[in-house]
Amino acid sequence: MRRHTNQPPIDRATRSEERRLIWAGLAAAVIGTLLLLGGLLLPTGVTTRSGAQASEADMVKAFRHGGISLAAATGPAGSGPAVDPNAPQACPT
Amino acid sequence: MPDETNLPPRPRPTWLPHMRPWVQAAFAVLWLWPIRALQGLPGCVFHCYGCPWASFACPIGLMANFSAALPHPGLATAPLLLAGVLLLAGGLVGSLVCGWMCPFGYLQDWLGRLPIPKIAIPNWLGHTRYVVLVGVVIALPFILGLKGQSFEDQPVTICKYCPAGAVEASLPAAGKSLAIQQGWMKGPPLPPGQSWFPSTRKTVLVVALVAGSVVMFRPWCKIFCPLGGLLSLFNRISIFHLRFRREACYACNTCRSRCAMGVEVERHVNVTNCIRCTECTTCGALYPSLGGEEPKGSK
Repeated sequence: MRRHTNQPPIDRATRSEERRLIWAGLAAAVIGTLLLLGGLLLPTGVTTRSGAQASEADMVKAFRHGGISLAAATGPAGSGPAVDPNAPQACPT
Repeated sequence: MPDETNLPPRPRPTWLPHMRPWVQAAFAVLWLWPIRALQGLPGCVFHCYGCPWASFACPIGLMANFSAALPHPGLATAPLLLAGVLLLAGGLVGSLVCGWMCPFGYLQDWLGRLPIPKIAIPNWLGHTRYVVLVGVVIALPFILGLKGQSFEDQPVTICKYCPAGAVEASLPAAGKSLAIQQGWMKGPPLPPGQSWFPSTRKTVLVVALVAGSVVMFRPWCKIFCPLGGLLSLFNRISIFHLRFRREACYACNTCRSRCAMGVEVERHVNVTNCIRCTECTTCGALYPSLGGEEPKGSK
């Protein structure tokens, strides 16, 4: 992994120490945590095969298990499923 | 080389780079642990959810799926969970995820260890990652979704041309295919009207990845990875970051010569083409920090 590179001389007096406070990163992490909790707790508004509201975790499972059929999802009410998180797992093509 | 008689004693070298392969191996076990309860959660690393042993779901595949679903009123939803995972990982550690946690990066690291001279990749090619992220992962599925195509039916998607999918999903499928004597990457019989993935494309992707990783260091990460590009945007604000201790620098060139990603360490290190492998901290002049003041006795 070692790769010798000709290095320009480092001007140690002017080279930034790259010091910074943690607030921006902390704010991003806190917002991320809130979004994560929201995603875990709130329903998405998408209907499942059983007629219930799908959680985002259900949608993730549906995406990884073969995706969502738009014909079924956009059909008239009761005509078919929108999300089936229990479909067999498929390889992406 | 400066006159060392005017400089303080050399700092103690850090042990972090020696820990990295072990931590990468531990995370690879976590990502490959097929716990069903975790399968509904997005991960923060580039790991195909088509892999039969995948625990978490690939955030890039999910992003493309959500983008394709956005034009359809019955399916449009804000991916809070996905955004939360990425913001949390980015805000805490930035692209440390790439250097320490990503199984696909770990695989490329192993291939890069082969003692073959490496071709340096120009830094400007790193901008391609954002073209892939905005163009292929977000815009293209959305536009094709507007035309009524579901993600699985779209002719060109990130998943169809993803080398991680080729290695982690298609190779196990190829093994299964060979085991049941269906041929290379043909897969088990499918219902009429459905076709198995084309073997040529996946085979080419696998061969290109292996060949590229042998002659270049982490080519996918450096040129194409949309997730690495996204997480590296947080490098300027993340809690974990690298700092320069100017009074400890002897201009020994260790930091620059150990950096395989071509970061101009003599100028800045918290930049978008850094994967935070921490190899540059070997001499101790650059050191990892969680903010706050420098630890006592470090000068």
